[in-house]
Parts: sequence; structure tokens; C-alpha cells
Amino acid sequence: MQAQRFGTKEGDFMEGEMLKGHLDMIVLAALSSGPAHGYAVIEEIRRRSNQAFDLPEGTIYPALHRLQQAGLLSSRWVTAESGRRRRVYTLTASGNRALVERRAVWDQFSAAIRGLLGDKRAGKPA
Amino acid sequence: MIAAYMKRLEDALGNDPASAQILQEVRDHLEEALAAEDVDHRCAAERRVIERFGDPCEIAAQFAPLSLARHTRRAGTAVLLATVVIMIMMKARVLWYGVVEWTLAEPAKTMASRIIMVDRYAFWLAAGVAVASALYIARRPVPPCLNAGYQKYVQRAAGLFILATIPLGISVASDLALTVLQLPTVLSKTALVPVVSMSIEIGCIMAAALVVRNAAGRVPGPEASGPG
Repeated sequence: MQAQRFGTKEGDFMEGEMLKGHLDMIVLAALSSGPAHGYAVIEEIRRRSNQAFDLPEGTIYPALHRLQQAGLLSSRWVTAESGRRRRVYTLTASGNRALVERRAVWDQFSAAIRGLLGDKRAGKPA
Repeated sequence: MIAAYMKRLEDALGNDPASAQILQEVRDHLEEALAAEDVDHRCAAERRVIERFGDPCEIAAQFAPLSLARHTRRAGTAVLLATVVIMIMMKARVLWYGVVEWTLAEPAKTMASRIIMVDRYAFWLAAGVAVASALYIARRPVPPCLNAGYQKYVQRAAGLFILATIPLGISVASDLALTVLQLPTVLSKTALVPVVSMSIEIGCIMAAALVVRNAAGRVPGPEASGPG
């Protein structure tokens, strides 16, 4: 089943804004499976969200640079098989801790929202 | 089409200190995205890749707070570095005066003691403000977009750097006056150490002032101004 896509169409404005609000957590989560360059991070976000998260691809780079400046990511330049120089990002120990914290906050928040909406799964965070 | 897009992004980024790296990352991304597209219709593929990447002006706007943070941190580093180098040069010169046994002539001693007092207070004031401003800029994370709160924060940081640079300049001017008083009327090889160390001090303060002026000039808002 194709998930609803967030972020690109006019009608998806609110969802797009919601997505931008959680972009740091999304990027950290995408990098939790291992080091990756910008394009691979976007592919990982699309894959793990079942194609639901579809932000303008350029949005990812300011987020990666900001997270690196905050010490949550580190990066190194490597030469790809194609011969192109590319920057590969890795989660740091602080980045791992930040992801755990944000995930806990998100679980609490989503459980509370489910409770408000009368979802029977409320109070049972995933 | 991609070359034109890259040019637009380059123009939109302005002189961000990291623009070369950003452009290289973006170029790699666009080429990889293009490689995954249908190569038979290159023009259409390039258009799709560019559309998916987003408007260059919007992307550059998202880099704006990072660029401002980089310039501000660079100014902080320059002021701190200049303070440390100036202190080393001062200590080296005093040590050298002891080695070559240079003493001041009696009439110059009163003036020199006043200059030393000004020098000491100015230097430690500059060092204190430089450390405080470095701590101030290190504590705040960069926001995803340039907001009024962050603009005010950067304005205050720039103000602190200017506040550190002024007494540092006074300290260097005092050092210059003291060096002139110390130098013998006939210059010899022994004068090389004070002359070279003084030149390094002047170079340091000028470089720090330029970097601070550059950073202060980038701060948005009507209050932005250079160190003079």
C-alpha cells in the first residue's frame, strides 16, 4: 500500500511544515543505520517512510551541516567509484544520545495525541 | 541546465565560507540523481532532478544562519588567537630586554610606567571580553532558519568582539610606544626581536579587526557596523 506523501504538493503544506519541524530527528534516524552521503540519506528517508516523506532534496544539506555544527554528526570526504568526491556523514556519540532522547519525546507526544484522538493504542508507545 | 542551476545556487550562497564544499556536495547529488534517471531524455531528466532538489534561493536561505554562525565563530577565533599571540610577543620582548640588559633612561621611566598601566588594563580587559564572547557564541545552537532571536544573538556576539578588539588595539598601541621608548637611538641586530615582535602584534590586531569587521558587516539589522 502506498503511504500518503508529505511535503511536495500545495495541499500538503501543513504536513510539509510538520515534516520540517522534525527534520533533525528524521535525518538522525536515517543515519542510525550507518554512515551515508546526502543522496543516500534522502533515499533512506524515502525507503524507511515507505515513500511518504518527500521533501525538496536540497533541504537535507542545511540540516546535515547544522547537525554537524552541533556535534551530532561528523563527516569526511571520500572518493566514490565514479571518481566524484563526496561527503559522508556519521552519527557521533552525542548524535546517538540525541536520537534516543528525541525518540522518547516523540513516543510520549504521539501516545498523548493518540489518547486525545481516542485511539485504543494510546499510552502504549511503539 | 545543471550548470545554470549550480551558478544560481553559487550566487545565492554569496561568500559563505563553506560555499565551495556545499557546491561540491550538491553537484555530486545532482549527478547521482541524474545517473538514476532515464538517460534517453537527458533534458527532461535534468529538469526533474533540479525540481526535486528545490529552489536555490530557498536552499541558500536555509544555509544563511549557518553562514552567519561560521563568520561569527571565525571572528571569535581571530580575536582569541590575536590575544594569545600578542601576549606571547609581549612576554618575549620583556624577556629579551632582560637578556640584552636594556633599561629605560630616567626621564622616560615615569611615562613608561603610565603606559605600562594602560597596557596592562587594556590587555586584560580585551582578554576577558574575548573569552566571554567565545563562551557566549559556543553555547547557542544554530536554528534551521534565520529568526529575530538569532539575529539579536549574533548582533550581541559581534558587539562583544568589537568590545574586545578596541582594548586589544589600545594594548598594541601602548606596546608600540613602550618599544619606541626602549629602542636605542642607533639600531643594531639586538633591536630585531622587539621590531619583529611588534610587527607581529600590529599584524595580528589588524587581521583580527578585519575579520571582526567582516563578521559584524554580515549581521542583519540596522545596528550592524564594523569596528571602525
